[in-house]
Amino acid sequence: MAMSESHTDELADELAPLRAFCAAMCDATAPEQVKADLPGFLAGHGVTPADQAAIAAHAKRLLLYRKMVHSRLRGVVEDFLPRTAEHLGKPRLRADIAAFMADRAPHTVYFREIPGEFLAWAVPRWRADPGLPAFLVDLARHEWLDGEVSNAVAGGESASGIPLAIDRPVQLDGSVQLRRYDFAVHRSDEPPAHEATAILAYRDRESLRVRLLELTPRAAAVCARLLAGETLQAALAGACEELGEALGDEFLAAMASFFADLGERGVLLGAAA
Amino acid sequence: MFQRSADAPTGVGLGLRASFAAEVEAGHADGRVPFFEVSPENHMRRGGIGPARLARIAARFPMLTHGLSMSLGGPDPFDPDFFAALREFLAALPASFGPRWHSDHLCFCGVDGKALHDLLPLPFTGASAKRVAARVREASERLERPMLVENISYYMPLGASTLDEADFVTEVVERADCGLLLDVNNVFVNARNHGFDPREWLSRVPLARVAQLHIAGHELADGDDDVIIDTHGAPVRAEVDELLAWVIERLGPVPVLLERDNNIPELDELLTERDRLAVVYNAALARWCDGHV
Repeated sequence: MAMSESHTDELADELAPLRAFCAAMCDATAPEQVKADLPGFLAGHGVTPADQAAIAAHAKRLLLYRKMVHSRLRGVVEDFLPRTAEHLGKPRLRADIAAFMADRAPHTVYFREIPGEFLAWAVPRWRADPGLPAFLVDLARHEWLDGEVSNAVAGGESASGIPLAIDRPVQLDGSVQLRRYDFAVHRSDEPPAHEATAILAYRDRESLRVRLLELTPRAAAVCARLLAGETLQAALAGACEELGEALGDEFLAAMASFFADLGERGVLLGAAA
Repeated sequence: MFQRSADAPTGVGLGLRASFAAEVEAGHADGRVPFFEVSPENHMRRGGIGPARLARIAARFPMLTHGLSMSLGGPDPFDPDFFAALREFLAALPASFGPRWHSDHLCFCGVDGKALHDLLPLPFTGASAKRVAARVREASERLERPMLVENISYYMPLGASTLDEADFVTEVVERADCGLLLDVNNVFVNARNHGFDPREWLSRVPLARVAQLHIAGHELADGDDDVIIDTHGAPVRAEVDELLAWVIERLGPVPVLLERDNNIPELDELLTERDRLAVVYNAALARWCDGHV
């Protein structure tokens, strides 16, 4: 028992510098603490006096590491969300990355997934911040949509071979995503127009590029229900009810045309098996 | 004891990057690059154009694999899902030589599930070497293939060292019985930043375990700290060419990988730099051959 405890203590001592280093990368107040009293900061994370002494002279380098870690994360966010980053501005993005690091930090080992983790953290905060443009969250979600759809593992599935049937759900390409925005962030206008928008994104099965379709309110309502797994009948009826429309010939003709277009694009793959 | 594959590619190859992968796929590097190196994390758990393109390139070029996020020195247990995905990715690549190794860095990348996406330094102690070596063995077993570990650039010691870096690297690779991916630029950067002789460092690590080399450019850090950073964002410097030649003269033919991850130039410019390094490599190889005739 004593040996086991001793071994545990040794391991804890060995790993304490790693934990302290990680804290120096993440903690909000780490830069001030490291500059003011690095040994104290290290001691607070269980680093032994001998290790404290070895690290104590390297406050500047520790903060250099922090700068490199934060810069790399900021860089990938700027790469995937360039317009969002531009609207935020460098100081705000820098502060948000620092706050993200302090609050949660990335957990994915896949570098390309960092913007998604960052957005999941940032969106509720941005929504609650009246100082930010009202379109910012929509813009960020739309920019990230491209990364999500282009890299989606799903997509390019074979057609089900089952004709569409009113009492069955449909099979859509696995890369399909539907987004609804309050602003027309899919256009390049700056600032984006305040205009309710629905976008269907999918990965083209030949070029493997992301394609965007701006949907009518009808198409969006039906699509949302089909994506949720409703039968064709339920989706059509539910969409009409939602929009306050009658499920008549004109509506059905419009949807038939929409489905035909999706079929030609390889997005609608028949009835679900 | 670890031995490098006799039929592994040799010469100067390139790290495959998204910015020029389409050109490689179109044939612009044909006949000019003996192999490419790819980072599995950039392609695993991913659909779309990247993996499809990689499959087509891998069918035409020998492919080495080099990981970024295994955190071989980290305190967290390995993630079985990650290893399963990595093993599947590696198995899917065409077997152009064998046994094909996988490499990752002698560093840690995070703690308690946090992934910091950087190569962070380890304490240079016997206990640390022992712990890391056990993890390298575990990684090798999980992947069912040999591992190489790469010496990193480090900018500060992480605690009171009982070993120096060369002894630490040696201790890890000997205990793990793994290969060494020798990053020549990292040796140069560390020598310059920490004030040691890079040739003396190189003479103390087990060159017989070196299966691959990395070479890259470095840059002076911003600010008032006189430290050079392994940025992979600039051409390889003449001093590093010399160190590369020194190693090849002693090692003979191995795969040498030119890394470029920032400020990536056009493919033609990168190929020109590769050609320049190939001249350095071939001249050193000729001297190695003279010594072995």
